[in-house]
Amino acid sequence: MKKMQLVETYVHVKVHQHHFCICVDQVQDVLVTPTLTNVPLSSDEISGLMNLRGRVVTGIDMGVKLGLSPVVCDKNKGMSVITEVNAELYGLIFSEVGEVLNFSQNQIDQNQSNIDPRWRDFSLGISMMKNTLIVILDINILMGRK
Amino acid sequence: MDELLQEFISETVENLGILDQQLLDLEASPDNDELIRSIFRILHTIKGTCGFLGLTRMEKVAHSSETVLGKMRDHELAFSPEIGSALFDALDRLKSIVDLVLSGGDVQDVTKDQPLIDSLLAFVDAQPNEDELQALFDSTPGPIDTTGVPEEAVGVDDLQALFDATPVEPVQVATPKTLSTENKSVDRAAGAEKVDGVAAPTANVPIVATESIRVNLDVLDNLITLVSELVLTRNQLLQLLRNSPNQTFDMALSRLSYITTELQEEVMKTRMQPIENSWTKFPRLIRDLSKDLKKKITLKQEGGNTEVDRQVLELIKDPLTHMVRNSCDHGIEMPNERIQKGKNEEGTILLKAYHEGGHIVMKVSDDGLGLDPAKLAKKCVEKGLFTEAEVANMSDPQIQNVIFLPGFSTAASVTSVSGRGVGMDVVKSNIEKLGGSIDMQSTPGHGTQFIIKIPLTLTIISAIILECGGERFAIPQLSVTELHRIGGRSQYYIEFVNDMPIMRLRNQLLPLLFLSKHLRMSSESKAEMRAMEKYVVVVHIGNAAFGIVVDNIYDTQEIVVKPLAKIIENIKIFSGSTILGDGSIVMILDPNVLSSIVSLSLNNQISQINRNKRLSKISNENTLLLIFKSGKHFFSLPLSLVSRIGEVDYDEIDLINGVLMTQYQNYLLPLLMFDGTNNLPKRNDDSEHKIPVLIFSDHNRVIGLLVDEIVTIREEKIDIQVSSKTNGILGTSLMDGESVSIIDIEYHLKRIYPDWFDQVEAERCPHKGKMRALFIDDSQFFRHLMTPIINLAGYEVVTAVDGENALDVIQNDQDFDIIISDIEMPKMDGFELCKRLRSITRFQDPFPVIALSSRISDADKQLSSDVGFSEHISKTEQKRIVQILQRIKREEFEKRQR
Repeated sequence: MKKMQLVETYVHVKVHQHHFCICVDQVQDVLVTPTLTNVPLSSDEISGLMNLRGRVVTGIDMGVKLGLSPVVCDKNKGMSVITEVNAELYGLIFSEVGEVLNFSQNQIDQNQSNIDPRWRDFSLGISMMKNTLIVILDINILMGRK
Repeated sequence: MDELLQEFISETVENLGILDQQLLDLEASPDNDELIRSIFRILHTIKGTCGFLGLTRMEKVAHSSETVLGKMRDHELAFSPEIGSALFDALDRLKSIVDLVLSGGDVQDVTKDQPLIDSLLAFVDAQPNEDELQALFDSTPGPIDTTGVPEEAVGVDDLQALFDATPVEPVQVATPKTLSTENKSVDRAAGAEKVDGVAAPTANVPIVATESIRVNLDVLDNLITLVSELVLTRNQLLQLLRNSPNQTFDMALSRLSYITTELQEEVMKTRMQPIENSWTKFPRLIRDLSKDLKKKITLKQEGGNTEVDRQVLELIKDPLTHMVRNSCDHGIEMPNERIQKGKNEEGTILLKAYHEGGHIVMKVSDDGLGLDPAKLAKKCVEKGLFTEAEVANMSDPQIQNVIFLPGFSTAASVTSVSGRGVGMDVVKSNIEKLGGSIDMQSTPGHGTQFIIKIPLTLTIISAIILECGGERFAIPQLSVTELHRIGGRSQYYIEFVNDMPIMRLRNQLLPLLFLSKHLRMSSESKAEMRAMEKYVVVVHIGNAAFGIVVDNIYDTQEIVVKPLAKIIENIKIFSGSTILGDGSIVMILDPNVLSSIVSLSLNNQISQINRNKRLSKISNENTLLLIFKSGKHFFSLPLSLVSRIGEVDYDEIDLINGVLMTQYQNYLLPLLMFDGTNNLPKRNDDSEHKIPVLIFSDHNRVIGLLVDEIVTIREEKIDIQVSSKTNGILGTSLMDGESVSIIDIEYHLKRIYPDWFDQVEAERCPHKGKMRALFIDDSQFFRHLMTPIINLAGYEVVTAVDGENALDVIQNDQDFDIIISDIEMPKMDGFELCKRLRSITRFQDPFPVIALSSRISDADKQLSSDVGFSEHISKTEQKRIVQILQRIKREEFEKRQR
């Protein structure tokens, strides 16, 4: 039974062909990215503002944030994962949001040297799923640092 | 524990501390009536508060102590050490009960205190007043006989539940009168809510006519947020219905819409407070200030019950205080001064507030000195805010408005009251932060009035929705004064002054800001900018006006301002965002920031041009002169010589082969410092330090003259009063009491292109119908001085250095309309030259040959007339030369007409 307590639930997300996951506790909502209002003069990672039931949510293009090419384009709005960090609401925009995964602690490799240096700082480790490597993202660190 | 109780406890602990000290003092001086009265008052306050909070034990103890003190006050009882110790005992008891209250112990059982009370009353009982006291005691309400509802059963009562659910906080909400009796009992039991009737006896509670409860601010704020969301959802529904009309929903929706509006208004009211609340400290402030300043000042208040958003109230407090202080210190005169002026000895400061169309208008006025424009102007010059020339051109209200400039203070000396340099500019920026505006009217000798206009609430504002680069934006309506269509078939069109887009609006030049360009959404070429039909939103910020060019203007909407997320907070151009009726988000533009983008220097240029236009109407002088500043001095040169006025980036100036160079509109521009050095002035802290440059161009050659500041352009007569010996300066003239040096631009240009003028002159021949003059003088200075003057009279000038040289010139070119010659010259003097000239057919009388000499004795004049000079003029009489030149030109012109 003790082993069971170490299992945590994650949401599987994708940026292009790269696999990531976010701890389910940090996710408030998952939805198809609503209409984005462009914020002129803002940094590239900010893809716009979205209206989430009367609340203004800042949309972050996770492609740009993770040092990859942008997720949001004319054809594809991506999926938004709504999260709250430091009392601010963010919509993290991924290419795809997949199923919920359960990993126990021993399934997570916390050896940071295996991780792409771009992601090392906001990663909690790497896990395996059907021969795919999944980088676990720490949203607090990701959004906390500018 | 609720906050009211906490407040009571902290206050009581403080009071008990004071009592301790005062009782000690009383022991030292038992006959001190003042001390006795003070102790009595404090005990009375404690008793009152306890009674109202239902802390019966404390109330009883305090009451009996008060009774003893009352007797002492009335001199019916003398202080004795025994009484003193009994009082100290009572004091200690009160403290212990307070501790009990804090720890939640039993504070209701009166019997525990009975021995103490008895011992206290024993002192009083010795006096024959028992019946009276007993009656008083009986009439004091105890907890058992009045509390209708048992403590434990309170929750059953619906009303009680309501009260319990409401966190208790200092905001007052009306409760219907009919509930009042019931309320009181509930109140007593709950031990928290304040009911008017009971609250009145306690000190420091403002008397409010309505009955009210205290509600936590967070609850109200949440309520307002929720209602705002409701409004947005309602708007969304209305929009949907508009797009697809549906009879079924129509009725219900309009009812919902109505109720939502009502609800919004009601909820907004809970945030409203009478403006008086921010005025409460002013009577005291004025009393103190008038004492400090030895002035007599009364404060009048009007419209104190005008209601305004709590947040606005909070934010307006400091600016108001500042203005009242200012009025006291700078505005109101000393009493004797006022009497001398025939005014009432007592100065008046009037605070006035009223509603005006969604705004609250506040006026702070005094009947004091008023702002003296002359004094202010002097100060401006001293502080280096403006030059004297600028000040001379400013209207009185313009000068008075300088008090809003940073770092301005009118008091001659810094007093403790005001004049620390943080002045009206801070007030102004604070008010503008609130989306408000401040205006001032001042009549010297009669007083000053400040008019502040502030939106009633900050959360909902009226905004204009506009489109730019395919995106919609909102701009607060308060700052917008006009909307115009521009370009296309509109009467307005975009023009460019030195790359800066402007538009003419009722004879004023309005700088334009292309929003799409500033938001980096598109970059149109000048031609495109001109061609497109656009809209201009005219915005007034303080005294500055500018136009924002946008693609489209939609409608006005009431919008709920949402603060920007932290991550985009740094984009200053936006003050927030909002959700429109269709659910889409738009960014709200901050007009204050936009105004600062329309850079100050450009603004100045425009206002200068506007000013000059005014000037040119009243003057009938003859030459357009450009006046600029370099170092501390003013210089000028004829505007016609300058091809363009521009600005160059400080950072883009390089020293190449000993010449300063910069890239200017795709070509390399050699630059000259006016002082002849290559030492650039110190760099400003501005991120974009621009230096004004005068650009001269001729025949593919361009050169820029760097100056410190372009002051103005004006029509003026060149009237050189002092000739100069400095190279590059022709002489000095007086304009508006300021000495202005007229520069010899030829000298400066030759520093880079030594052959600048030679080539130009060579190419100008043969001339096309223009009058030409031959000017002969051996002094280089005089040639340089006279050339522009003759030029300005409408002549092309050919110069020669002496008689012989002049004859050489004439051999090749006889096409002159006038010859002006010096007398004393080497090789061949003026007399000889004139004799020779008169022998040439072309130059026989009446051809004007004029002697211009410093030899002005009668003998010289005679000689000059003998040899055939038409006139003999002193070198100092330049006006006369101009007159002659003009006369000849006129005659020639008339001749040609015939």
